[in-house]
Amino acid sequence: MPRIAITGLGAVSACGNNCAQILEGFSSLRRKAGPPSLFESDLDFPVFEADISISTDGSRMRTVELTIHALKEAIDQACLFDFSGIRLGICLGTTVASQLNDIAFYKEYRQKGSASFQAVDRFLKGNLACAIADHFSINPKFCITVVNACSSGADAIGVGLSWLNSDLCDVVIAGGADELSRIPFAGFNALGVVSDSLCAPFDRDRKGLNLGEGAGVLIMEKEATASKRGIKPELFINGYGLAADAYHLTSPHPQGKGLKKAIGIALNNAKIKPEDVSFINVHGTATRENDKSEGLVLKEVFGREVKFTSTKGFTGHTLGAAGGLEAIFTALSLSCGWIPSSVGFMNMDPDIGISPVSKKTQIEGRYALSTSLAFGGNNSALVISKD
Amino acid sequence: MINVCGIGIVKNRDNGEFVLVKGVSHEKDDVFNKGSLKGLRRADNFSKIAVLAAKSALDDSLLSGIEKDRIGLILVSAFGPHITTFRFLDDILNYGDNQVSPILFSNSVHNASASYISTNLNLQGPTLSITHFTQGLLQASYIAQSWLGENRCDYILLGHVDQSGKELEYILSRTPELKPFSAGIFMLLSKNDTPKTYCAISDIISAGNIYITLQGLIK
Repeated sequence: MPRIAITGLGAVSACGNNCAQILEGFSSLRRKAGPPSLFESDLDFPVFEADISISTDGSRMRTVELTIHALKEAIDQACLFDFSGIRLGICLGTTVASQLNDIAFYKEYRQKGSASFQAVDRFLKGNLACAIADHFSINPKFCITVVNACSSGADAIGVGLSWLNSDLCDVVIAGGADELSRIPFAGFNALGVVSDSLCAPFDRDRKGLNLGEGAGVLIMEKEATASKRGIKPELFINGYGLAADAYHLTSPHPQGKGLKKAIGIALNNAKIKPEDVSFINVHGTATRENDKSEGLVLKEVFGREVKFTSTKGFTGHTLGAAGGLEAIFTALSLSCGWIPSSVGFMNMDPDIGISPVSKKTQIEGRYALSTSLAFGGNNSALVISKD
Repeated sequence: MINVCGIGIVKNRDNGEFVLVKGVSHEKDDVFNKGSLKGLRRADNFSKIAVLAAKSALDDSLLSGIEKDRIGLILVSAFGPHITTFRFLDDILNYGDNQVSPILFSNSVHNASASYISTNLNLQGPTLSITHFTQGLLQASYIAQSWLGENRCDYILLGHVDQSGKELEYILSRTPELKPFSAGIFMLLSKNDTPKTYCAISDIISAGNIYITLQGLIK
């Protein structure tokens, strides 16, 4: 198998509008949450909104705009300004942008039996991967949008890895994006998993998640392709595991059966052992069930002393963006040699028995893991390394 | 070469009834019966179509004793469970954000049907839901090819499910090249020798943005 390099990283979230700002936000414990301003709702829960002005005439979904913003940063970092002659794949994950869920359109349609087509056009031009290809006027060999709920971003990276490993592509644009929307805001509240205060992943007294938005996009390519372009990569994607719980639509398996399997596949794929993993950027949504099941697996596979952090205290749960953003945060941590505090955590949950790091923590080692758990019982794990 | 070793279809007749087609010929009426819907009490029609078509493809293969964590699942949909999404929007408009149904919300998520399949058939391998308006199944074929090549699984249930509804018919009224339909089709794919093989996918070709064909060789 060829070595698959990460040559570009681009991110936007409530914690910052690019990778440098986000790292600074991690250091200064920036938690920029408040009531939603992007939509009206009779619910009063904090959300994490990205602070970027989007110059749009309403013809594009905000999710697409967030992705364009992040991808520009990744392209700049990768110095990849010309895609001609490259076998390119685009694989991006989302949840909100895949659905016909425009309330204004539907309200008008319901009343009149017809409605303005602006929202329809926005949706039909909004298949995320295709919209990005259109915007950048590129003609990818493969172009697909992953809709695996909260692991979509991680699974999009996994699909990109498979394309590169199978020699179907030379370069892949992969990651995830999602905008804040009233639909999941109401839906997650109905499921009883939203917190009315700032989220506290893995804390004994955690009350649930806060929703967020953002985009995290990587440029992945074979090391040889990067070398030909004069790039010497520092970061690599070494393994990916994906496994289903086959247990429940909305709850993770209590003992994390699928997650344990996904981690095992990813480590095996990377040809490393659990003791080779220097830290884990965990899914850590701050719901009772997710954190318990994920924590039990981490303790079993990596032991009680494992260093791990959830970055959702800085970004909120960004749904389809989460796997992409957190893969980027994992790569940035490897590159910088530290992981951020798992902000919000105060007291260990005795039912879990292990704690995330509660301050900015130096790390040593070559390999790290990023885990994603999703609605529907999907579990994903990515192994990322630094040379 | 990738063998197509099982086929399952659930399709909508003009009278609105759903029928099950196992393999390529055997048609069975009354597909949404009590026995077939076990474990799907809370599922919407989109997920019921998906589960029944996937199960039919697995049954059709005549394979037994397959390790369930060696079966991958790739489910393609252009529009997802949009009928349920609109019913969820009805809840918001009728009752407010605080009074919506968690079941409707859960069923409206794009990968809910894949979850119902994995739970009902106890499939523990890699599971992926993807969306593309025109070329989803062909794009998914490449992922299936990669997964089998990487030994991520021995079998893959590859399927496409979509559902027609009055809102979607209105939405697509200006785009005659996109015709809404209600159906689910699944194929069981494998590189292994299998008791039944309809055909083998010998090649998958892409030319720019135009994906030409799945080439089948009848054995």
